[in-house]
Amino acid sequence: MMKAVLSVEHISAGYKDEFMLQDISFELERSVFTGIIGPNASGKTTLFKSIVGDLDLQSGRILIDAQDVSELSLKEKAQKLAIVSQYFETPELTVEAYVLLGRYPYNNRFQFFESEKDYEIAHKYMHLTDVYQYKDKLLTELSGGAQQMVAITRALTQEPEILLLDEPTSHLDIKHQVQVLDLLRKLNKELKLSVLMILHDLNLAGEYCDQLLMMNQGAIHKSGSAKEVLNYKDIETVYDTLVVTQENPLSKKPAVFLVSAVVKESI
Amino acid sequence: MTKKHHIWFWYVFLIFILLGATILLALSIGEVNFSMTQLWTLFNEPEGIEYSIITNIRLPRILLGFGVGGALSISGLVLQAVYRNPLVEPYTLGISGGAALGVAMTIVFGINQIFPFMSLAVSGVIGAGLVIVFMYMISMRRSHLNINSILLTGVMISFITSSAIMFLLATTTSEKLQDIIFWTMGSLEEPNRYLIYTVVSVSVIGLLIFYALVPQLNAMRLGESQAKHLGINTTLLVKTLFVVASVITGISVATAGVIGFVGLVVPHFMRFLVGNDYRVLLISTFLGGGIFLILSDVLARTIISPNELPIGVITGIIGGTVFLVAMSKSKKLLKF
Amino acid sequence: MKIVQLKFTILLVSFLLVLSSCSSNKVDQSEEGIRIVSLVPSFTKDIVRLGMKDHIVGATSYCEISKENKDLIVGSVIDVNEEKIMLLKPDVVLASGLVNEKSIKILEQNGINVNYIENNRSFKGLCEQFIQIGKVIGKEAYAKQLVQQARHSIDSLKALLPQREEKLKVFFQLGANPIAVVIPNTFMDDYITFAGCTNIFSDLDKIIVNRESVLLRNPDCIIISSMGIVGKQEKEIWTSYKDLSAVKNNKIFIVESASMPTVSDFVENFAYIINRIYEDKE
Repeated sequence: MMKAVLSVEHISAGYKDEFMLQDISFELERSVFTGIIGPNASGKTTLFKSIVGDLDLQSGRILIDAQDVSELSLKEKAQKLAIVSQYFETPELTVEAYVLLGRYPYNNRFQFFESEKDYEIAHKYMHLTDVYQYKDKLLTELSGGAQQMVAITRALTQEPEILLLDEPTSHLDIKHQVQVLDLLRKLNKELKLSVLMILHDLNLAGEYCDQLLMMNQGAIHKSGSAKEVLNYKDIETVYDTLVVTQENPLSKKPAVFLVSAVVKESI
Repeated sequence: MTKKHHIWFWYVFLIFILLGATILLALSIGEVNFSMTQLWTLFNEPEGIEYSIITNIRLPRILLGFGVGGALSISGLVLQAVYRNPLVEPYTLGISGGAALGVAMTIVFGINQIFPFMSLAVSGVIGAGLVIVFMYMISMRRSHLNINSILLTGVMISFITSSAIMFLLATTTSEKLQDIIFWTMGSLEEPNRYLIYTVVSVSVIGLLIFYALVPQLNAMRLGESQAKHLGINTTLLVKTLFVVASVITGISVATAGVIGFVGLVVPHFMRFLVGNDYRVLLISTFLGGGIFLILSDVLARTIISPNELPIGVITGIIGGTVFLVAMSKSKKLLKF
Repeated sequence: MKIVQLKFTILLVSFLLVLSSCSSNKVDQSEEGIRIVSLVPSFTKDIVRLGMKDHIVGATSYCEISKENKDLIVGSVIDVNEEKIMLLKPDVVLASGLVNEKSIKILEQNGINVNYIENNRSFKGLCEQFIQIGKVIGKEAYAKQLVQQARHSIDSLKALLPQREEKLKVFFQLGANPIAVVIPNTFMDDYITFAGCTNIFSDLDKIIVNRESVLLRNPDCIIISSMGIVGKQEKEIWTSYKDLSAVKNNKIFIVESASMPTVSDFVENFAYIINRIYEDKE
């Protein structure tokens, strides 16, 4: 039996005057591409923050590779978890320097200069994600989509067990959405990288994610494969809107069609 | 280390040369001017009034300028790193004000008569430290640092401390009044050699401690949350930075008085010259601060000779003007 | 960036090399004998009064003697140019509590003989100060003689004072906005007490008061230290309070007592003051 890469056991977490997550549990298998979906205020971000460590757990524990996260040092944790946020600061760094910062968790305390190995690893991933061409450009000179790719590249140099992303594509146009998600899927398949991602767009979730966690009102409403989770009944319950689900004719993955008022009337 | 990093060593080397030239300049200019050859002769014949002037009057000032300039500059630098805001420095955060108030109170309550040796320096550090603790507590109320409330609080603290000092001035005896006024105007004049050595040592130690934290400082450029995700204990880092900054600022203000702008202008300038990487920026800022303050002192001593301007006047006017000019010419100056 | 740095360094270094002209100050060997630097304006006055004006080689920018000869200036009272003083090779430097302690220490560290004389503000203090200065510059006997003369003059003036049952109440104003008053242990207070009057603020130890307290204490006579236009304005303001005793007596006048007097100045001022206090216009 394979160890689960991420194991969330009965955690409760949240903000004092806002709602809290109560008793959430789930497991993620290795090398699986998992998405977290749900309407606003369903607890997606709270759950994400709890796993990532931005929010303290009130109870329960989180295991990564069967190790309790709270027993890991910050650096060890950074070697296991890599995070890509939705919005991030863009300092005046070259792409190469920015990506190299991902090697920080592996550097010695007083190591001032990156080692050759660090450079090798960074360049390897930069080739993989095709940002090597921007190596000496400043991060601020790149488009939003390219910046996102660079951020992902940096996360990769951390060589984590699991890559966590918070709505990495919500602010991008479709070309870049596809670009980023294609890359993630490639990483998932080729590097066997476990991916956990918050997604807003149900179609993207259906197209790219193997497994889905659907959140609602601070709890997991349904979990399972994308096909299982993306059915019109559950979506209607959680999102409170009419939809029709079908298969994408090209990829055979689940697709969600929204039902507008005009259509409703004609039915 | 790549070839790109080799240029850093050149930058630092050049700055050292500049520092050397500045020191020579400061030694040679004053009520009486010396040429290079004259300086050389004097060093070989250590006697006479002129030798005394150089070693007992000018050299101590240069040393203190180096220590204080360095300390205030790197304090400003790390505070700017923490808050990622260009307006931040010991003065604008009220830290200098706290040190000033500590010293003023020590003078007024006569404590410096009881413990003459280090009481002013200690009270400066305590004053600065209290402000920093206060700033830290209100910064950490939320899980991240809220820059606007910090800056506003810093300005308020500056107001409060200067009002408090004015209150003390209004109610104290005239001798103590003189003491406080001399000292708030800022001056590199200091007869106590041991105090000067202490300030320089403490500044250098502060520099070394910051250097130990340089990789973390670089990672902080990504923002606090991302730095945490990379494995940095940002809470501990910020606390350490604050403590060290308050000590070196406190002791500098206690010895040389309130000298504003150094911690604001020098870091920006050095960023412009050597870039944003803290590995080269830290030492460059330290040396640059020394150069800036020593040069300002030369001006302060000579502009209305034989009278002397308070050094804070020079740093304020020149520092401020230069900064405004540079800011209008290059947008790069404010980026992190 | 490298070029900017290089240019700047070259500029600076060449500037230094250009500084090849030595311009050490010509040390003025004016008169044979003691070379004096005075860092306190009132001390400078005393030294001049003792006939040693030509021996003064350095003074503050506030000393009267500096107005005649700018080269004498070695600093303001607040900050002193130690280098200049050292170059003057003085035999003695006179300082008081008003001078920056740090400057004094630096001078002493460099082997300069600094004579610290307490700044005592009463007439008695002025006398002692005068004699001490005399001692330091080698004119002790003369100083003592002048002090004796002054004391005699004052005693004779006192003897001329009319006897009064009730002493006149005097208010001596030093400043406006805020109002600063004369308090005990100052020579100005001595003007009042020697003149056989009482200072309405003899109970204070701080000099700032508000206008009300003056009116409440209802002085019989108001002396205003000359403050230029402000002094005249203050006189008008007081005159507007018709019920004030001093207004009824028509005894509000201005005196020239801007700076610390020498012992002889004190006597002159004293004479003038008792004249004005006791002249009867009724």
